[in-house]
Amino acid sequence: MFAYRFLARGGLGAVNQFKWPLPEGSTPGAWVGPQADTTTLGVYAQRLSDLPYWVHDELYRVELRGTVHALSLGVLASEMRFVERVDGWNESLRRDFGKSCVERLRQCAAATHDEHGEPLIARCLMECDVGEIPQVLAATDMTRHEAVGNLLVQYLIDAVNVQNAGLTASVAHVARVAISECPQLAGKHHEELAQSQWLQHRLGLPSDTWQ
Amino acid sequence: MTTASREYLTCKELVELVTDYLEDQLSAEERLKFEQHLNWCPPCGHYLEQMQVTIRAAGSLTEHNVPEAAQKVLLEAFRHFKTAQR
Amino acid sequence: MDALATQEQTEDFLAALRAGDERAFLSLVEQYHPTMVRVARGFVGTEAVAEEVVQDAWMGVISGIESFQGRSSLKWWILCILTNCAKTRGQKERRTVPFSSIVADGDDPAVAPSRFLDDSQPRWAGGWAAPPQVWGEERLMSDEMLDLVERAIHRLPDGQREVIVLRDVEGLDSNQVCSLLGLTEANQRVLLHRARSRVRAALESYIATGERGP
Repeated sequence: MFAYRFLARGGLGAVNQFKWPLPEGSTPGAWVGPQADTTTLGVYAQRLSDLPYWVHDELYRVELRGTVHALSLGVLASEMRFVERVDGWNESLRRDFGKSCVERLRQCAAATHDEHGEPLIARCLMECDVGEIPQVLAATDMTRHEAVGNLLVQYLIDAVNVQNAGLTASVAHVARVAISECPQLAGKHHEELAQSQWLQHRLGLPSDTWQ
Repeated sequence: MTTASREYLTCKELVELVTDYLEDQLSAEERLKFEQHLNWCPPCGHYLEQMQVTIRAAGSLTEHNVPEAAQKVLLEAFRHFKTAQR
Repeated sequence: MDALATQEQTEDFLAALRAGDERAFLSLVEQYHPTMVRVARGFVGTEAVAEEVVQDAWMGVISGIESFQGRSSLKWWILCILTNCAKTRGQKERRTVPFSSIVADGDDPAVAPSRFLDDSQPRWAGGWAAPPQVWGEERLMSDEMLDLVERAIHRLPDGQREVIVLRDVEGLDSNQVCSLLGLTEANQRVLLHRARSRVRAALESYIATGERGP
């Protein structure tokens, strides 16, 4: 059974800095059990659909054995070993992923303004440089705008600021929260799916066999 | 998988779970949500580190020496008891 | 510390103690007295009373060493004696409050609610309003900081102080502490959580403002 796992730089656990045994060439790393994640419950791994929630420095394909439980944000297994590094995931792609989250959020914010009779704001949002969105928006008068559209724009500003700070995981989170809190977008846009599909496509990952 | 089932912890909720987390008393699902929060929230990462430092500091409190007077009294008591036993 | 504990477990050492070997006894005192004072201090009002409790406990150790079977570790046995003396003394001083009432004691949030955005906020309700900062580790194990931690622990309410002293200062595990203090695992964890939260807050306050508190 295969899945994925994001790690911090150097093959370390993101929270506990556990040094995972990494693959060498075509030789997988050693099997590791529960204590690695400082829990007696098991070791965690990520399905394709979970990846956007765990974005970090390095991405690996992992193999699982023993009992495997599906959870909301990942899976829990008795044992895990690291099979190969997903080389396509690097600093540059990571930044691009963040940019894509901001871009989708920008389009949603612009579309919302368009739909609510604010085409000028919409155009302004779409035409300015992404990194400059906060300054551009500060220059416009937002107070007269309908509450939800304004909210989306505020989230967009948050997203841009966090992207500029290089915090990709946070950008992805802001985008997911922003979309989920806008009822107008319900059914029109599934951000976490879009994020997962972006990663799958850019990294050339096979579709999950997980349910 | 609906958005609702992926609901996230707030920072306010997380700080109340830190001890349970460090004691490994969270369920697999709760633990995962806890760690996922740390993935996107650097301030809570700082908070967890602060807690860990606090715990390490408590564990570093140095031994004090046994006051001489106390040692004498105890030794006397020990001798006395041993003598009385014989 | 562990090596020493093993040494004291040896039959030779126990035999020496039983035979009245004063050097063996003194090494036992040196090994455990400071821990005992610290633990006792968790139960009673003053350092002076803690010292008295420890003296009582040593009397119990001295008179009990003959019949000590060695089924548990010497450290554990000594701590049990000590805890009994401390609880008795604490009760006499009407200082020990039943743990059940301590735990039930309503709201004691780990962090002041004002540190978070409240529910009226349109975005990030429950998120940090005043986020915690990175602490430089070098500062932290300084004498000044350790002194602050010690005083913060002394300021804790009874139940919280006892648990944090036994768990974090003395390194006993959860089962041992529950056994010594007569607590459920869950109650012990609540007390530990509150204790650690307060000590962290005291450290944070000092690092931010330079003020030490009482």
